[in-house]
Amino acid sequence: MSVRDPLFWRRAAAIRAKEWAQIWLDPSTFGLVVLMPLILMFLFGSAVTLDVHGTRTGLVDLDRTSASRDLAATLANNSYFRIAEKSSVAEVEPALRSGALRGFVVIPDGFERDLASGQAPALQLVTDGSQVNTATLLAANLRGTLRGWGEAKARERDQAAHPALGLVARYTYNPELESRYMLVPGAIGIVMAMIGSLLTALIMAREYERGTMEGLLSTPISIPALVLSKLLPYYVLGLASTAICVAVAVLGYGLPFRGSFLALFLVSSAFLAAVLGQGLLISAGTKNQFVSTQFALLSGFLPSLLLSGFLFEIDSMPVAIQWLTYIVPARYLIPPLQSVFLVGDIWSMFLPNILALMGFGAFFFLRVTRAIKRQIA
Amino acid sequence: MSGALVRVLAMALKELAVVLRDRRVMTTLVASPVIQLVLFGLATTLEVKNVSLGLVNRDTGVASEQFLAAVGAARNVGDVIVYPNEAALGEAIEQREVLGGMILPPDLSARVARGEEGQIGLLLDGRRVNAAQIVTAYISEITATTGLALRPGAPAPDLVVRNWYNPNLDYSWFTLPGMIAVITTVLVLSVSVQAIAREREFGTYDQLMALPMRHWEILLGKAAPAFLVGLFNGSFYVAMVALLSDVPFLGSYPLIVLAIAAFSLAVSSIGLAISSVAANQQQAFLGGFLVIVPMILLSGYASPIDGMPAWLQPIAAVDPLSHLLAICHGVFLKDMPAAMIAAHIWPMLAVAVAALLLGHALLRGRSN
Repeated sequence: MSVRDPLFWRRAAAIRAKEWAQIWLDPSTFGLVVLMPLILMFLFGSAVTLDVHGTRTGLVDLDRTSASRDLAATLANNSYFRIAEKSSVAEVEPALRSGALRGFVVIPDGFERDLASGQAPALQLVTDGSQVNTATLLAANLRGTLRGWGEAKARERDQAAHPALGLVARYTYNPELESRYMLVPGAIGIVMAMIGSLLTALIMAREYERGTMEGLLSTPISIPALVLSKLLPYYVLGLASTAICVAVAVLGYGLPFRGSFLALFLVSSAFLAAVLGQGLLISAGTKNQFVSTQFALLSGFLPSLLLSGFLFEIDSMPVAIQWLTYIVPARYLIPPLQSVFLVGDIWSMFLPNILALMGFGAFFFLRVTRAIKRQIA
Repeated sequence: MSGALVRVLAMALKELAVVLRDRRVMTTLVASPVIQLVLFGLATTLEVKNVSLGLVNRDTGVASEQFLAAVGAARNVGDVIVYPNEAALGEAIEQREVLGGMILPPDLSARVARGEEGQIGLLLDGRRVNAAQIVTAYISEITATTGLALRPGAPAPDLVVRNWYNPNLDYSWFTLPGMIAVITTVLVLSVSVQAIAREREFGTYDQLMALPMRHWEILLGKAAPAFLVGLFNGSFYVAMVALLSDVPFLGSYPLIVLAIAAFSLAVSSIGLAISSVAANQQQAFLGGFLVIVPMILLSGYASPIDGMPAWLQPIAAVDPLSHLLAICHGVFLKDMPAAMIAAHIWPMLAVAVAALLLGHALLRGRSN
């Protein structure tokens, strides 16, 4: 039976109508399509932040002079730290162990005297190394704050004192370097990956588990028509979810949208084709809803979250894992998605990514039709 | 009471048999978490190493020479790629060829020689926030030290940093113990959410309700497989990471197993509460998913709780995963004493009790 056969489309439409009916009847689908995007957009827009602010930091001032008090006040007024003053190092040690503090600063005895005599006194910072990123940023922020404090003190003594070099950092597309600008577009990718792989992972497995797959296969519909008509409703749901996300991102979180809807539509469609195909292949391969969702989590959701370059820089991963990221469809989605919000349409970057995603889609589609065919033979 | 115990045990055994019967389910329960642990444990690093930076250099004096020598010596900066002008650099950033670049203006050395401040420009890709912020810190450090070498100024306080529990700030020491907690969450929740929903989907729910058992007995029996899977797998991952990776294990194994037990109880109770209202497995899985994602994102694994809005921090403190994470890092790296671990176990038990009560109420409400 071929695509030119008029019955191909009628039969496909019938299955499509059946899928839609099933979706309408189960409110949980809408939970995933509407609620999940809202929850994720909220979490990535408001809860997850890569700026380290309010880090609980202990301060032990062993000098207790006007200079050390001045520095302590500067630290306390800085939003990077939430300073808790302690009287001795013995007192902070348990707090660091329990996680009540993420680090502590010790201003040494003789701090003011050393400064006055032209020596550089050494402050000590002890961090909780178990929280690696917080420790790194705590040290960097403290260094910057100390440098600023030292320069301000130098200017108080001598108006003309300048450091030889200064740094002016600018951030393209995101001048305030708000992590939300990076996380919210990424979260849209996660929503699509989830709807794509998780919902479709269930649909075929459910038919097999309930024994209705036989019935479906005994109808005169051809396999490609069956697969296509199973996918189409979920593609529409995926796009609907994406639209909700984009609305929240722009209206709720004030993200710029500098690209075009056409670019967003093409990139999203290509990505959805890939993940829907992936979910369906898992579903047809495992025939068990539990195994299927576990697989979808393992091969769809988690790689999209962890290996796509969305949260974690791919360049920093071990080389073997860097290679592995090339087979994660989300890797090809995140850069265009971030760019369509923050930069604009960069077709020279979008097109190769769209092609790669369509390649994934075609590959999974062929595999699904073959997987189903083999079973009836 | 002993009758109740026998009934709960019987239910637990039957449930366990259901879960373990299917070989593929077994494989999924054992193999896939190990893959996740290794793969994602190694991949998830917020470190920025070997980053390639662009350079637009219009200054040929001593200042740029010394600055670039310092940049070249920095171990965190990989290749420095030269671009003829800022437009070319901007293009390379747009295409994500480089994270950003340094711009040295023509009057840099001249200004330094005149006693003014020479300004080094740094242009970074704002789409990559974390990397941009870390590279800004690297480069401003290099700028400050080079500046001091060029013109010794008034002494500014120095900083000596020591990192306790992880002296070299090895990222895997954070991710591997953390991944144990995250993966156990996913596992326990996905097993427990099916427990009752499965019966509904297969039409055996009425038989379940017709059993001579109280609702709470059914709930406890149903919680058993997820609880045991979490306890067994969690303890196994701890042993695996402790023995096979270079993450030190300084604390007590029995204590961490105890914590995993409390955690598994809390998460399987949450799963059962979801399962009590789900009409079929799909609803159960999706409901579970609606809980897993916030649990992970609010736990402090993906980003520190300190940085979250103040009103959200108490909610994060209720998240059992945030407590298990603290215990995992504490037992592996900090040799956390029993009293501190207990302080994290109580909140998890409180969540378990609350979720069981909720599940009980939902199950009763549904069956009446």
